[in-house]
Amino acid sequence: MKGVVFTEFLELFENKFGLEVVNQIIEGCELETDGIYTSVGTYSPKDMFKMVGKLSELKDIPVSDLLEIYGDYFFDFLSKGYPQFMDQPNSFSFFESMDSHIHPEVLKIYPEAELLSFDAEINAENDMTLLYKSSRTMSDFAVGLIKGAISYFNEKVTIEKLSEENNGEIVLINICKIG
Amino acid sequence: MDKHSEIENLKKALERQILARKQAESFIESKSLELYESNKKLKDLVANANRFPEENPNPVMRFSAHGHILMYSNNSGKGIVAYLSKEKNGKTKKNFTKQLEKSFLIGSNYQFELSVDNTIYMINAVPFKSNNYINVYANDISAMKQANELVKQSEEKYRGIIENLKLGILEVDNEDKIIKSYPQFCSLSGYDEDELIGKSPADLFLDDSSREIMRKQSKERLKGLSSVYEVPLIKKNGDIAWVIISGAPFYNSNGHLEGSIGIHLDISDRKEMEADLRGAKLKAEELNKVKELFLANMSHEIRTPMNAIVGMSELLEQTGLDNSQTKYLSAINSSSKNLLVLINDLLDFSKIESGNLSLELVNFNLRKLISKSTEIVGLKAEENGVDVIYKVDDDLPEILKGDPTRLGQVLLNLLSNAVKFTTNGFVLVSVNLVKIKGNKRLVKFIVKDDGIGIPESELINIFKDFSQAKNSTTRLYGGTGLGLSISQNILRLMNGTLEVRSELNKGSEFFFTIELEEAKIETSEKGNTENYKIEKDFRRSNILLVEDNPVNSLMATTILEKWNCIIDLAENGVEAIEKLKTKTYHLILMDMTMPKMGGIEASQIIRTDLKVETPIVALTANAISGDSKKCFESGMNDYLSKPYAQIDLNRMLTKWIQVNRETEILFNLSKLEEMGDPEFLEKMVNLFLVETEKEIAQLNMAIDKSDFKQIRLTAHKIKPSINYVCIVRLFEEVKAIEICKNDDNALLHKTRLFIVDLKLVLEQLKAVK
Repeated sequence: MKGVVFTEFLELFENKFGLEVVNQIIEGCELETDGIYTSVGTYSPKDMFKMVGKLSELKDIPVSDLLEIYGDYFFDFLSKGYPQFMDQPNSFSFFESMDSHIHPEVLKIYPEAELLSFDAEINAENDMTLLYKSSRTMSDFAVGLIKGAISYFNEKVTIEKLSEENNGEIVLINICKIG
Repeated sequence: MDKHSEIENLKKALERQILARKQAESFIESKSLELYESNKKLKDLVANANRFPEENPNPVMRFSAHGHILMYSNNSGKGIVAYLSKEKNGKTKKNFTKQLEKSFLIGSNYQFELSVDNTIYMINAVPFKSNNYINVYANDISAMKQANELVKQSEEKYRGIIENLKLGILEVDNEDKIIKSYPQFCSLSGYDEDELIGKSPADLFLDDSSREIMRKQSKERLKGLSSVYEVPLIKKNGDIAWVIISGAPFYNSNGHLEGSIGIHLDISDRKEMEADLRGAKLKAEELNKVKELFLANMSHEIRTPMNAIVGMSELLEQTGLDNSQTKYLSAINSSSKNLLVLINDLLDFSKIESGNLSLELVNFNLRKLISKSTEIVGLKAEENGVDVIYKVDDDLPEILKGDPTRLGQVLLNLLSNAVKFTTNGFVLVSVNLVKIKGNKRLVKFIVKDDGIGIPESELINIFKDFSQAKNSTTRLYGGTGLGLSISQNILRLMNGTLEVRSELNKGSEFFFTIELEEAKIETSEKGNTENYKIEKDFRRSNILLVEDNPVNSLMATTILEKWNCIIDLAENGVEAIEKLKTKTYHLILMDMTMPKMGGIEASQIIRTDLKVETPIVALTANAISGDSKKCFESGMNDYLSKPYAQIDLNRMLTKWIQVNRETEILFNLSKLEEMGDPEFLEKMVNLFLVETEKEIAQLNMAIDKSDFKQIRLTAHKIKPSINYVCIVRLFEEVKAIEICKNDDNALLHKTRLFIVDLKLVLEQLKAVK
């Protein structure tokens, strides 16, 4: 998992809950890196789960909520950092371009990156299904990212998980535009 | 939160930040290095790319769009450039420029050859329209050209060899269609190559039977097999040329079967020679056959008069002669016997030569054979003052199995030689058992004398045909000189070898060892001959003598009549058949060679057409082998070789005529005797005599007309009287005739036999009256 995911995670929650909570998280988990991350490094996703779990425990917020919040925030970060990928008219075409356009570009820069797969299918003008496939089982993070994208394009939608398979490795997500 | 812990938190965060920064710095450093190295590689690559044409060993040049201006040339190209710029090569340069211009105009790669001094280049012009230039790449193809030239030369050389060979070569594809014909094949077949291409060789050159051979061969070829075979090939002009074809499949470069090559060698001359040789061989065989036939005929021609001489002198002997007549007669007798020996020698010799001499395997008494042989030479031995002694090993069985005639012939030959060449001395015959192998006995025969002997220098010659120790021997001692050669050949057939030890004036010793089988104990045939008594009365047996030579028939008739036989004469087979149709005989004596119809043919007709079963004895003067076989095959029962002694003829008669049967009383009057007094009996017998004569006449008439119905009727009519007067056998015979269902010769024959019996009854009844 790319280091940027860790650094942004720590930054978001330092801003939200303060440095003390961050220290508690780092000290409360047995992390492989002792909490030292750089955005350009690559680290074990286990550390991420440990930290999210710890935070949920400390603040009594469900892991899924935390991941969703982080996803929303992370999309905002990405859209600012890589505006060249944001050249799309709306969220649906953006989602569609992900597997075919954005991910191959990412792999050119970070050949070792393990990216999630998003099979997008537009059912109607305002109705789309995304098939999340990732061994990380972080579909909530994905929902957060989707939400981030929706607010980036300034749209209104309902998001619904239709089904989950293999302990959340394969998740079918429906997006429906409102109005 | 107090200040202190806030500072602690900040401190920890700061430490993490510092460590993270250091991590990031080292990451960046390693990435920078990577970047630097990639950059360096890229630079080298670019530099290499620029040097690339320079390093090319082949000329690389660039010309302006119309080929006039040289824009670039690598080092290797400089030679070409220099050559083209010389004034004397202006024409080449002009041509070169023209070619480049052409390639630019057509806008695609264009190749042409260019000779520069001794080098030949293949020029590849590659135009770049957008850049307005033409890249020119040149390849030195001098070596390749030279190699091609060599290949071409070698191909021409071998084609020349193939075309000059006296072998006609033909290539066909897998469909058996000609794809190439070499000149030699064209001249062999008489066709031009154009006439052959696309045709099937099998259809064009072969007849039906050869076509079948060819078809089989083609199948083999499709399997990829080679083979050699011979066929007659029909030329364009219709002549036949015999050829040996060596066919082999050929393959393309991918290993696929493309067709086959047939190499044809004209062997007509050889075939002709073979045919000549075959003809010569046939002719030789034919000549051999003619020779054999000649011998057979000659032997017949000689034996016929000899038969008369021997027979007649025997008859003459019995007519009461005075002393001098007896002396002359015995001279005639012994001379004719000598003559017979000579003839027999010659015949044996020719048999050996033609491989027709074969041995028989019969039981014989060895001791008696030796004693008889010594007896035969006894008279001559006495004349020469020679004692003939014989000694037979006691361990040898009495009866052995082998060919006594031939063994006797060898012994007699050795004995008579020994006696002939000895005066006032001895001849010793000894027979010794050498070895026992199962039922086989290895026996050594020695004939030793103390006569004149044979000089050592002559020993090697004595077994040769027609040779005697000295040429003068014939004059002094007589003989054909064939005896030892014949003996040697007979012994070889018996797996033995005749050997000799001799010393001049001291004597000779001839010896040989052969294998004889121990016989299973049976009374040997020879035993009977010793005590044979001539039967002088054959009680008026009817004999049909078939013989064309009047002297021979006179002789036979005289002898046979002496023995109380009734003789009918027929001069040939046709006459014999006519006689047999009307009369029944007890025996037929049949000569072999006669005008109109010979003995073999006549016998066949007698057996198969007339269905007459009367015994037939052949009188044969042909001593060539195979005659006896032919006799038996034609249905004859026995044969007598001419000239025959009276005793042999007598033996034949006893063997085949049942004299006893005729002495059998065929009537039985007991039934009639029971029925009344002697007067009644006499009356009845008289009636039977009268009536039966009539019935016999009636039966004979019916036989003549082949009136089978009448035969049966008559048989039915006389059956009751036969029952009263004759023995049961005759009653059975007449009953069999009456109920016989088939109208055939067998019935006629049966009836004839019955008539013979009936006549006998009449005679017997008349005799007792």
